[in-house]
Amino acid sequence: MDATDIRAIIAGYHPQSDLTVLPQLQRWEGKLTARERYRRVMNFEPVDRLPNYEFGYWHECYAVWQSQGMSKAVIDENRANIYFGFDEQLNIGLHYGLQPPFPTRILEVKPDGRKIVVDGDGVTCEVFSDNASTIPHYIDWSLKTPEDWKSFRERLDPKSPERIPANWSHRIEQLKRRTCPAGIYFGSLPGWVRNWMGFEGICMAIHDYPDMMEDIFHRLTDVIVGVLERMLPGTDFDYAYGWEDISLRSGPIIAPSYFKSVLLPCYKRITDVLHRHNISTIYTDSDGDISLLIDPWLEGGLNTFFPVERAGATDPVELRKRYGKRIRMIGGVDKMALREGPAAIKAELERLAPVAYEGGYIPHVDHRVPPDVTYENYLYYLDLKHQLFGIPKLC
Amino acid sequence: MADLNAIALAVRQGNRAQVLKLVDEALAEGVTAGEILDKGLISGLRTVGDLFSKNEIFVPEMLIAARAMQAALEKLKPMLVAAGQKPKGKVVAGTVKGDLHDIGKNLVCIMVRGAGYEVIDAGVDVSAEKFIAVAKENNSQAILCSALLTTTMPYMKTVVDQVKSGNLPFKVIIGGAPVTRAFADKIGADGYGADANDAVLVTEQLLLK
Repeated sequence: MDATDIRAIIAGYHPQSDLTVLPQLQRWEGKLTARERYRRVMNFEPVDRLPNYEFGYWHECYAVWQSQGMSKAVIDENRANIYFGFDEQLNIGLHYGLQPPFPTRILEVKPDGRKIVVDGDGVTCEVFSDNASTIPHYIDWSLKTPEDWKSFRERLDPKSPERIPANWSHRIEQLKRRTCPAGIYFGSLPGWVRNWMGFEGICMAIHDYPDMMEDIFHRLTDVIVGVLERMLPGTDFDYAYGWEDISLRSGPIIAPSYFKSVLLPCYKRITDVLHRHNISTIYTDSDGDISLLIDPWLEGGLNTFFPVERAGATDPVELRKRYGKRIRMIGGVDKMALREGPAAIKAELERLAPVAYEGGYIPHVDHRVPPDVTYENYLYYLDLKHQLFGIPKLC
Repeated sequence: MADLNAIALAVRQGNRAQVLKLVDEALAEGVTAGEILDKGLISGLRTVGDLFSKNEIFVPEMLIAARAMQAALEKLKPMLVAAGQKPKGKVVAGTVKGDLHDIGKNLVCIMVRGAGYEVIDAGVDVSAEKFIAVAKENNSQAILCSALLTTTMPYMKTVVDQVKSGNLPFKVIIGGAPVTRAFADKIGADGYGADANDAVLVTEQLLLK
């Protein structure tokens, strides 16, 4: 499969994309395919060089960096990936959400373009009109009581036909010819529920409605497992990915004991299906300090952590010391170093290099790059990353 | 005999019904509302804050403890007012301009309120002018600024600068995911809170000076 085919698949998942941007940076050389390299790194096996990926960018970066010299053709992440010469990978999403979604409506349009809307999760929020990277301002949550849960539960039927993507068997056949790694999405448990209940809502509900909360997590697991069971036969994915975002800088939102007693069995059910389909790299995305959740996640069958946020007090060097080769990591380069400049960037990458050379670790910026990082600093970072991790036979 | 430690324990456990029952018993025995507040409710929530800082309890436990305390406080409020007891101080809290994240700010409001302060919640996306206007309007002693984003964190300096250049009598305390003590020192903030409990401790230190 060549790059054009890959782009066709990407375009299939992002129909708005018109990927006409030309690369500014050459793709790192190498003898292995991106897929072979990814699988080897995650198995702690020797590679020609490390994979070259990045988390992404705040939307504001494109305008700011264009004013600092970046091509004006780079207006989204797909184009940025090509422009910066990153390796390809395919993340395949599946539909585990509410089906049907709640009816969306616009309640108010403000003079500055902000809108008060009810979204597909039934949540009332204020949204910006300019693609700004900030979150919506949440005004009212849709899931508060067991009575509310009834209408959510009806929308979480694992057998809903809408959950099956069109042309799935054709896509599977296309994917089999790939030379880049591909991952399958497995959704979220408490992270998703937080989007329906709010941060304080989920915290209170764990105490006020413990039975409802357990039912929510088990029902979501039923949907995820049910969809995966239908979609995974005949596939050969290299990894599986989900998200949670359930930690603050001071630690997890939910007590690890609750996590272990209620959520761990749910994760086990999900990862059992993934393991049965030979997916060995399984990660979830959670910012903040996740250190107290790593043990229950490992026990639940996950083995890879992303984006290892340094501002969230999570550090690849410390995690490797503590867990050795039991864990894999993706991310972990402190975005604050990119704000500071070349000396800080160099110190940060050199600090992480020994962990990267051991394997089981793909270094990149620990979250989306914010627009207060200059384009010059970002190019310096990419260049140094190439020198440290991208020259064949060094890793 | 009224057991104020039992009230503190019930707050710690987030047992709202038990807190209210014990407060009623204490009042019936003639314990003043002020004593119940200081030695029972605030003491209980202070323990909660300490346990939270040590990662021995987590946000859900902290929130239900604060809720239990708040229920008792509503009951005691008329008595506290009648007795002329005032809050320990008044502060304004908000998330700085350009930033809509409110989780950290809300936790700070809950814990500082629970420590006996009146907290005016200025909301999110708060400009320096608004922080100052709300602080003036309410005769506040401190402005507590929160930010989650590296791009909005620098705005805290604007708040500090406007307070200092106006020679205004407000302490500025900052916190949030990307914020560090070094950053607080660099921009001339009066205090830095590493988490919600730390925000309480710093507020107490600065306002009692």
